[in-house]
Amino acid sequence: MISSSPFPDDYMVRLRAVELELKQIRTSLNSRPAFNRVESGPLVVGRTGSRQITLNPDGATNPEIWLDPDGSGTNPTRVVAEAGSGEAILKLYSGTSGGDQSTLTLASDEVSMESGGGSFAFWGADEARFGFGGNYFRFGQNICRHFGQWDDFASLPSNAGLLWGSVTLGGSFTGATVFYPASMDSNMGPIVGLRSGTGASMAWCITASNTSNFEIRWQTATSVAIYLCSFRH
Amino acid sequence: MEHGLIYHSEASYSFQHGPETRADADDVHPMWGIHLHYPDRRTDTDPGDHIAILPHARLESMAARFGFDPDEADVIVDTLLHLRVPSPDDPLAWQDPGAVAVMQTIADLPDPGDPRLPYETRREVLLAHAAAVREHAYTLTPASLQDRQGAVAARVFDLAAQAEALGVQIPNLDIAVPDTPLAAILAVRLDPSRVAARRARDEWLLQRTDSAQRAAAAKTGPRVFGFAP
Repeated sequence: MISSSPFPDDYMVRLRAVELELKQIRTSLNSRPAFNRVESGPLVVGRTGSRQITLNPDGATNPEIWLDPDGSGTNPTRVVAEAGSGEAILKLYSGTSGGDQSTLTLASDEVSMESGGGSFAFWGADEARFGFGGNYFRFGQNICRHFGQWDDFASLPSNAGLLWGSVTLGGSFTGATVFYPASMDSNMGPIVGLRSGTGASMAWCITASNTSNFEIRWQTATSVAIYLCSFRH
Repeated sequence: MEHGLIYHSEASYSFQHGPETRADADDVHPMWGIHLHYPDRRTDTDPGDHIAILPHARLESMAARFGFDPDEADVIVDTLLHLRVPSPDDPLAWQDPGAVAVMQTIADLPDPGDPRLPYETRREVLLAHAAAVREHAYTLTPASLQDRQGAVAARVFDLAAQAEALGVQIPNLDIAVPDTPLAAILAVRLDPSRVAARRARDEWLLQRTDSAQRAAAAKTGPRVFGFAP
């Protein structure tokens, strides 16, 4: 059979192939740029009103990730990168309650934790501090210091390491037996100082010491202050 | 043997009115003072007066740790006052014949701090310790009502003389001493709830303590010289 058509017999098949190829070329999957930036706003993962993770949330001044367990959008915990001097500093923030907020900070030369309640641990470039409010230990490279006050010995348990305290006695005593607040768990070393109320010097001595108490006697009947730090060893 | 007399007890107090500087709001620990008198120590310059200073927590700890009843505070105080039990590891204790006799008397008793002992046994051991001290070292007994009233009268006489010299009026100081010199301490019952709370805490801590660690801590290096025969 002689064909009168100017097209080959299988032109429909060929045309279909061209259409398919064109469709594939034009499809958005292949034509649009790679989906690797979100520039129009925050990216929220999770349904509204449910647990949500928000990347780069509105209102944040730093790159932040907010973790929001109830999707309310208020009081989330936050992962934040803050600008340091030539470095980014990682900070984790808790939610807030009554104005309290806890933070964890990681910088190149510092790790620190602060609780909203007032306790803190600070590992810095040239010092470490641990404590609560104004009562803390400070460790430098070679020395350490304590700031704050020592607990009074009168209510500490039998495993307390140091019993600090003072007792002031008026009147005409020439001796005192100071009991510990418990039968201590091991041998005690009472470091005792005696201050004379009159300012006059006199002889004095610890005359007995055991895990229950120590006895101290002095020569002249006068008012005295007894200062003590008894250590358990 | 030394004999002492218990004359009086009082609670500790702050010297000045007003807020005291405290580390914590709950850092208030009452203490008791027990006035003692040792007649044999008395000289021209030494009145022989002594005071035992007793944190209130210690009374609770005796009930919590050693099985005393919160309602027997008198027994607790009496036991504590006689609880000068030296450690056999202490070379100085062996220089004191009374202490040596105490150590030898109680040598076969179990350690009252041993957590394996029933509370009733711990109490009996401490009572035995106090009995050994009473037998070999010293005794403390209440001064007679007459003597204690006399001590108050002497003090009032002094104060009245001072007041008269200063020309000031003082209120009537006609004070009747209580039946027992420990009246101030015994006036309020030890709180069984606090005692129970202490015992619960102690037992909880004990369960968390590694017993091997306790044994290691007890073995410190020798640091004694010059006592060899």
